Amino acid sequence: MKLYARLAFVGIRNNKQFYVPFFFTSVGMTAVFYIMSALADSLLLKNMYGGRTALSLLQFGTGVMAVFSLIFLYYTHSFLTRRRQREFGLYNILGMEKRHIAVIMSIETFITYAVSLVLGVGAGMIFAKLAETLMLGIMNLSVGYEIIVSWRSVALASLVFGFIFALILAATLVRVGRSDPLTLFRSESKGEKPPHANPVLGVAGLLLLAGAYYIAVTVENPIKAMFFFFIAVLMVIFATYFLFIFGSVLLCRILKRRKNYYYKENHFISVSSMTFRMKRNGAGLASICILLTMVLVTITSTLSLYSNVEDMVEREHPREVNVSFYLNLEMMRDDMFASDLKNGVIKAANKIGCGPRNIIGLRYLWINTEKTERGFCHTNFYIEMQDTYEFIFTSVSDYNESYGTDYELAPGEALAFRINDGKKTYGGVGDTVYIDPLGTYKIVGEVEEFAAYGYDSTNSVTGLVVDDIGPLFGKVDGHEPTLYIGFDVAPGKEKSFDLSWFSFDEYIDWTAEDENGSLLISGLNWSSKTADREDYMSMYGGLYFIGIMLSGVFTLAAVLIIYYKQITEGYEDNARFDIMRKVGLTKKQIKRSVSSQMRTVFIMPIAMAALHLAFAMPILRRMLMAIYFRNDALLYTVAAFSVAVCAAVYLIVYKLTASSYYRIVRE
Amino acid sequence: MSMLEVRHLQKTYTTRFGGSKVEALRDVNFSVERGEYVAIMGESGSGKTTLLNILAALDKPTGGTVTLNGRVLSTLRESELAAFRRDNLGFVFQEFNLLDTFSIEDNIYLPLVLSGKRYGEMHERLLPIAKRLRIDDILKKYPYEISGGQKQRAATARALITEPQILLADEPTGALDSHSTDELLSMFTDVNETGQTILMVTHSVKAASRAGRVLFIRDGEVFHQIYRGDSTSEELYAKISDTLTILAGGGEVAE
Repeated sequence: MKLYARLAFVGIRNNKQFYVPFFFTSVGMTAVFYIMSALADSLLLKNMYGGRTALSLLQFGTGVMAVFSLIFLYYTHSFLTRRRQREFGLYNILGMEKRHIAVIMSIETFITYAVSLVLGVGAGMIFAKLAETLMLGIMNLSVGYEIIVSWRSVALASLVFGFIFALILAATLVRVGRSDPLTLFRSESKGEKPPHANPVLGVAGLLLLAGAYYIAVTVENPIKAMFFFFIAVLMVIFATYFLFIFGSVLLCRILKRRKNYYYKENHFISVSSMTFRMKRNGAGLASICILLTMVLVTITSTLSLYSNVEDMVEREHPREVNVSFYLNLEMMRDDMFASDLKNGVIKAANKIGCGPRNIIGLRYLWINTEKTERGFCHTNFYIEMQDTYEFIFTSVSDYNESYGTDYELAPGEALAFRINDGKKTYGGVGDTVYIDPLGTYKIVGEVEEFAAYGYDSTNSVTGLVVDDIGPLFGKVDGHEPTLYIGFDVAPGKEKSFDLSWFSFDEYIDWTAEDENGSLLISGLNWSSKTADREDYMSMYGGLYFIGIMLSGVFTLAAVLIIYYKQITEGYEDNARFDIMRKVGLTKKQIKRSVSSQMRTVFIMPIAMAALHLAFAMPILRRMLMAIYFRNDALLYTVAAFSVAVCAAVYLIVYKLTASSYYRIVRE
Repeated sequence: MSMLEVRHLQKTYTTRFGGSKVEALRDVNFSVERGEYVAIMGESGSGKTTLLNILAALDKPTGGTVTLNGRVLSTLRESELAAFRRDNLGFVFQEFNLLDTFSIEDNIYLPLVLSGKRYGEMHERLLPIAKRLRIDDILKKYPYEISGGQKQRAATARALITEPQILLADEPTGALDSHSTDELLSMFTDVNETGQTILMVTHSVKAASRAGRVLFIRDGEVFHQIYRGDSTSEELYAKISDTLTILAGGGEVAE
């Protein structure tokens, strides 16, 4: 037993080039898993307003981490065992039985597991505090000072990773058990067929990619965008694999056929070895490319959403407290009824002592239209599409009272406000707008403010202040007439107004009916800017935080795949470059050829990922629009920023990998 | 003046921690004339491979000089060495050393591509050599698809395509069966008859018996040499065997 343990230790030490990065990965994965699980477990979030959203996101993130750790650790470990088959073969030839090798492997795996768990959870505990600070900072919440030690998470981590390592061990044992000593011994130096490029698949990859890009660029409808996005993602994934595996081999073959290009010192070696390399590594490089694309898309969208929270809150909430009444049509025309309701709301606010101010009371008539030859025509066919146009009418009397203005309008005149400046409904002041069946309006001016509470959409939305909306009610159906009342509160009183039906009980008679027995007030809708901001912060902040964590892990994974590939290739190339040196290749030429190949292998996935992101931007923009994201400049800035950060991390890894590659080749 | 002159060649290896010193070559002297076919024999550890590596400019001697066509190898700079090897020396190795990522044709072109030759010129040079070495029908194949004998002939073609001053062969028949060995050796003889200088290091008496002269190395020195003179290969074979017997016995050879 002691001998086995020693052999296991020696095995790890002798393969440290492979084991050290593997340790890093498994420790990193364990730490991230622990952090997410511990944060999800901490009472802090549970007791926090809006913490629930973040909590469920974290739980989801923990699950994703578990699955990803399994796939990735399994994958990287197979690199390790493949490298070591020769060693096992040697042991076997020296008379060690397979079950002895199995014992050694079990000990090695157990050591790896124990080290990853102890270091991972340890690092997790240290970094959990940091992560919590980061997360709460992102979510704009204050930070406590207690260190998070969640024994439940420790137990969970040891279980999940115990399972992962058990699976890895089982796979390794099957691999060792299935092979005989000679194949074990020789497994590294098998002859290789020159790859056959399948031109059909190569071309298919190109077509798929072109198709996916076309979809991404041309889809206009934000709701459809969501569906097409998934189609496009699938197409891009296949296209990436096809292009990397078959497309590159095809390209190499075409280059080889151009003799004057191929038989040049710098092309000769790189093209021929790239042919082989791409066949074997195409899949790996494609995976890296897809991981990087995922990182870029995740960071871009979550950071954009997060940065957009303030904008979104301001847009959705004209005032700190917002209340909407859905009224009976008759009551809608009744000025007294409207002002009674408004007074009731304000009295309720005063009673609590939150000091209402900047009070707005607007009655809305909302109409959805499509463009016709004469102007616009009402339609009940409401889909969020670029070719529908919305108009929100309010009376000038309500407007003047709310905003302290003194506009006077004649029938047929209107003051306009571009709420959502999609496609324009009017050119400018002086234009007339015909809306069937409401009539023709001449735009006599534009107002500076227009609270359109509850009417935020991705379509073109225009607010119109007209002389009187009373007669307009009843001309169009399919919408609920709304009275909106909004007000700000005294500083520090933001959350004192606990909104519910009961808040207004004292001042508003909910049960009042008209002569037909239908309720005068059919519904109520309210929101608080501060509470919603916290909610959004919690949700988008949580998303962003998880985006960062997962992106970090994905980047780590991508980087590690590359590292392992280069190191494995280094060992293969070692013999190759030795031959070339004997035939008369200078060290300088070797170095040049190596770095040109490395650069290609490294640059290809990230360049492709950046290209994917570039083409994903239009469709991403449309999808974000569906959740009321409108800040294009922000989106593009964030995308550029993510690419830059990703490329920087990538460059560092490239330098590190390149130097260990040279070391191996030079041996 | 001889084409290749080796004078007082010395090579001492120091073990890793500067402890004991191992003398691989003590004092090697010989010369090779243009068009000669020389075999170097010796037991394992006699310094054969070290000698060949130094002749190939892959290794540096600790003492003495190697002069090829009047140029002293040790005066060449590292940057010149590779080009020098490419232009003046052709190599055939026991392990063939063909690159598995290249077709046979591309393997043969490799040194020419490195010298920056045009494709047309390379192609012209290839055809006669491929014909002579009877590999013209396998040029498009990959190393893993052909036999050991074919591989070694391809490697020979790669060595010859640069029209080297000397063809250096390190146990060229070491990994071949007897049929392929015979074939390769007659090709070496053919090539030599066209005026190609060959220097071959070998264990095999059969291989050595095809040479024009056989040098024996023992304990890092040239211990003895035999000229073919007018003898047939069979007679030379017998002489070599006798010499080896004496060598193994540790005695002196009386000539």
